[in-house]
Amino acid sequence: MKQNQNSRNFYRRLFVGIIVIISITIFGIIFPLISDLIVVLILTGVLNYVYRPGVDLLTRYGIKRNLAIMILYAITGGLIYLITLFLFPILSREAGSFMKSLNQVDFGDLYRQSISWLDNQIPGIAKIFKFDPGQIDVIVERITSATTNFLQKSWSFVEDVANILSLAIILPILTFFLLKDGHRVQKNWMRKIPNRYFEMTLSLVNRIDVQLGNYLRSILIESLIMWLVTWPLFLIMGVRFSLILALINGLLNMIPFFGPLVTYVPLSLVVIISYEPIGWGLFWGAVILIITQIIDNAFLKPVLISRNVPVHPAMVLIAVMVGGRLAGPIGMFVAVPFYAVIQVIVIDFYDHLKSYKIL
Amino acid sequence: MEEELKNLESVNPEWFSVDQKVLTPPDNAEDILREVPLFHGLKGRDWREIIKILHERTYKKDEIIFQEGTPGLGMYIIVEGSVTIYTESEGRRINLADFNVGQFFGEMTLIDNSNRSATAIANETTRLMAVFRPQLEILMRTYPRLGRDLLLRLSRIIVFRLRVTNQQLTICRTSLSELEEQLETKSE
Repeated sequence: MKQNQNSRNFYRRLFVGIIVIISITIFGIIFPLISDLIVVLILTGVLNYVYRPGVDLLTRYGIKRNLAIMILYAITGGLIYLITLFLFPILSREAGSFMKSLNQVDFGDLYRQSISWLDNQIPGIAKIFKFDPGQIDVIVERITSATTNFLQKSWSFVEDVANILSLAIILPILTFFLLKDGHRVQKNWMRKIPNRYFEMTLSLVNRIDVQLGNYLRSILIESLIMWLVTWPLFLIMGVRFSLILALINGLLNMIPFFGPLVTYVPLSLVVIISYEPIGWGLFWGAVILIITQIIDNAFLKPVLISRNVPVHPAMVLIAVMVGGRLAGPIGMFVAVPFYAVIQVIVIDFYDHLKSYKIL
Repeated sequence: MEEELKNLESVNPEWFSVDQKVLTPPDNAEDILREVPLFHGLKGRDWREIIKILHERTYKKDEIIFQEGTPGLGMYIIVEGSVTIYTESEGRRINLADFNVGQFFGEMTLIDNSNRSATAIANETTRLMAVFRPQLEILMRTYPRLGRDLLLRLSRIIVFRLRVTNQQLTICRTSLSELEEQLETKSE
């Protein structure tokens, strides 16, 4: 009995693994060809999941669906206006000031100071590890050019998609029709499914719809809460650019395991350029990130993410690398949620094939 | 009602038509749906919302509609044709019920998600309207008043089945005690 169970689990994992790899490979081939269309479709889908509970809620109170969507659009417009009015100037001022401060830092000098301090503490260590102060300029230049290339990839990707203005027009229109006529579109598609697979497909589509909606809404809310939790902690610590750093932490939180580690890089830079003493700054920064991770894993994830979507750390790393290669930093952000979504779809697909006796 | 129950003493409690009315084609599909106890008397927006979640399917003769042991997902209403419900035991096919135009089957799966206890097969070219649990659940969440109404109607149908089951159980018990008495008399 137990052996049967193990063998079933093995075939399930094998099936899921193969399909996920095939899907990602196909996506990797198709994505560069029609990246603009895919991104528009993905964003429309995400917006549809974000707005749908609100539209359903307003419909419950007797408001017509069209009007409900328009009300939510008006609220979103108001929020965007407020953000542009109050939050955007702070963010752009912080970002500008951060870049200015960063340019003023002489990394070569900082490196030499650190090595000489380290050499004073542990005499001879600079010689053992062959720290050559002359190399720092080459290293800094290499890092700068690699980072610039990487960011340019993301920017050219955004430019490819369409300019922001046309996206801002297309997305709300597509989302409007999806929210209004989504059920009709689904019903028309279902007509084309053969009788044998009809019930299974309907059940599968509904299950994936619920899972996907819950997952996407959860990670968005989780990121927002993480941003709002981290911001006051950075303020208490007294680190500069707290709003931007908290925002980075909230966004990077979408990447499990590695996200918080990556947040530590800009945090360290801020500490190096504007915090005294640097050692304590680095320590408190790490403590804050650990605290936010504890809050996230102990309270937010169990409450928000209704179905656990376990993603193996190795797969997170691979997904982030593939995402980064395809679409720069934007690709890295969406890689893990995208992988988790494919995993959920494939697992449900396999389970349905089994329960409807097709496999 | 008692009279109606007496007529159902020999049927399978899970697979008999609650609404005994058999309509004859060419009845309009919408008229047929309006006669189904689950939807009877619904009007205006409620009716439009129900129509939105109904799926129309056509099955050829001897085509399986659903199979025993697979997850139950929804209820089917016959708009045209006829359907037989059967189960298989030791390779033998045992017919449990026949359904005709205007009758419906599988409504219990709108409440729970257990597997189908029998197989449904089309006896001729059959047109069905189907309503499925996931979409009915969304409808109930979006329109709670309509949801309550539908749940009450579903409960009435299931209570009716329960009463038939009770009736049959009583008959079985009576027969059993009679048999026991006969056995005791014989042994004395």
